[in-house]
Amino acid sequence: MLRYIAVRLISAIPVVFGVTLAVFFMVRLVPGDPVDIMFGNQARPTPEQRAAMRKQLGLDLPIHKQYVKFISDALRGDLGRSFRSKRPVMQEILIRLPNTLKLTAASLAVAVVIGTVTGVLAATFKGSWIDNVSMVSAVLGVSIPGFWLGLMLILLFSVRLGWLPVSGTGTWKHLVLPAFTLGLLSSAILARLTRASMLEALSGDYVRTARAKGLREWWVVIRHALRNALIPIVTMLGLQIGGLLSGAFIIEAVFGYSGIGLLAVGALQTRDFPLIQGIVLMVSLIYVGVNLLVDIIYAAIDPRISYS
Amino acid sequence: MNADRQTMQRVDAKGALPLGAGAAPRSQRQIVWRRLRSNRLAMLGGVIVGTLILLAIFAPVLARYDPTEMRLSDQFLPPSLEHPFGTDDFGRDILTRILYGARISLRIGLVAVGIAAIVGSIIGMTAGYFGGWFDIISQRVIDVMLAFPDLLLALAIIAVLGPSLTNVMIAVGIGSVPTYARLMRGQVLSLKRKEYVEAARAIGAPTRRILFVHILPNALSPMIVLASLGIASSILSAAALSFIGMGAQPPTPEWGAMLSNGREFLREEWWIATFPGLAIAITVLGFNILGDGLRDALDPQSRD
Repeated sequence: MLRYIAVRLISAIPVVFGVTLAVFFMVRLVPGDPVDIMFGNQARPTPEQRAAMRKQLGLDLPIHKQYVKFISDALRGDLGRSFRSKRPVMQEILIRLPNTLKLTAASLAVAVVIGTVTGVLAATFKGSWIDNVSMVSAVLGVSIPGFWLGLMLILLFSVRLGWLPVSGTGTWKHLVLPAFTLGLLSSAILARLTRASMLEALSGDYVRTARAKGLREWWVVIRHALRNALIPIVTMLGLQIGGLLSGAFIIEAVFGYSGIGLLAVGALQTRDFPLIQGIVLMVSLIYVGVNLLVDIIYAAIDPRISYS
Repeated sequence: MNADRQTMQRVDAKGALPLGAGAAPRSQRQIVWRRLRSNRLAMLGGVIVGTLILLAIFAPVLARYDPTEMRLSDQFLPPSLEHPFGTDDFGRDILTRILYGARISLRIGLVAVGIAAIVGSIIGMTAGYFGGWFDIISQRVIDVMLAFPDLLLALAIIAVLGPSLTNVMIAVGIGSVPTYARLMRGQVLSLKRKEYVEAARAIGAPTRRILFVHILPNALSPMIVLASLGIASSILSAAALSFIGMGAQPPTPEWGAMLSNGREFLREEWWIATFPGLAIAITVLGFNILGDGLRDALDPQSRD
């Protein structure tokens, strides 16, 4: 187990290195002066501002030293300053990160509850109308654009019924619609996977044994089949979190929910490059970390997994 | 395995059974087609996709208005016989714009998947067949690309290239290269050890022939499934990018951009945002269920 964790941690190192390299080159690959690119659409920078940016980017240094500087700055939490707000990029991100994490966690909860319950029901009643309805809704779930579903929910629950706020951040009421929108779409994939995984588990010998012992059917389904069906579901959760994180970019924009997604959309629209760079770096590192964690949890719940 | 099956079926067809009316379908293609036809959901997908293609081709004939011309006298008209989906803030007929939008969405899907499938296949085939340093390096690059959540990679590419419809297609295409490359590499790795490939190598067939005649056709079926589902997800991603203003720019009748424009008027003029969203959902649904059906038809074991 420890060996597995160690190998998995080491294998993440080249990925993290690659991610930092990609983000570093993001600005430098564009034709033109990186200084101009970093200033994007902003009003023409003064010579002093340009000189400061040149120094910040370390453009007078050879390229490998520029990268070392980029990394050592980033490690000290210095990702440069946003042009729009003039505040440090790190600060901008850290203010909004908790909101995005809250949204991601809430939608993950919605997805897991709806996805596993639907999947288990569909598998238990395979071929029945419950199965058909759930699988048709699952296909619908992967086809409906989240931003459209979000708008339709706003139209119904905020505009027509007036139960929930149209947009904003702060109270739990602001979280309901975005979390539901994101979670519902994500639950579709989980439902299909849970169904497939449950069908496999339900045909297992241990399930037949449990039934033969005269255990109640729901006990067999939950305790014997679902426990074993959970393993592929947990792996999928890692991927789902990536989907939720990038889904949050769009959904936050729909609901005016102040997370890093909304921050990123604003940064893209104004071509606020230091901010874009910082967000891309942070979000992808979080994603790498989450996947690492999922793999470790995965090994912990399934003793068959090891690097041998 | 596919090739084995195919050869066996060809042998059968040449054998005892007479071909013609009433004869059981024998070729791989006929079997797949028959399986696909018996899948009602997949057929529905096929009908949706087919209709969409026809609507896109005949948009200029079917549409009664100009997709971009402003008619301020017709602003914000609710759905009626004259304008079945209503009009927008510039008095443009929404149905007309949706019909023209079908052309854009199909183009996005095809171009993005085309980029991903071609680049991905070349990388995957080279890496899988030759192995060596190219394999090692390409796999590490793919690992890094997969470390970015889907849309984030596309967003980063657009940040570099600048927002436009063409750049969205490129960004979404590049963003899905890893999936195709991984799949193709896996296929080639397993196919290159098959007897018929070794036989071809033994009789001295050139590498090019082995790759394109013996390996590629047999690696295609999972790629076709992935491409069909990929068109669906590309259309969805591109619409999302246009929705946040990173894709098609006004007055292009792109569905995501139309939806984004409709947000402002959600309270009173609900139809501006509702119909483009439905168009996206139906299109994506069509490609998704067709893709699912193709997967089941090409590999019946994958069902359940």
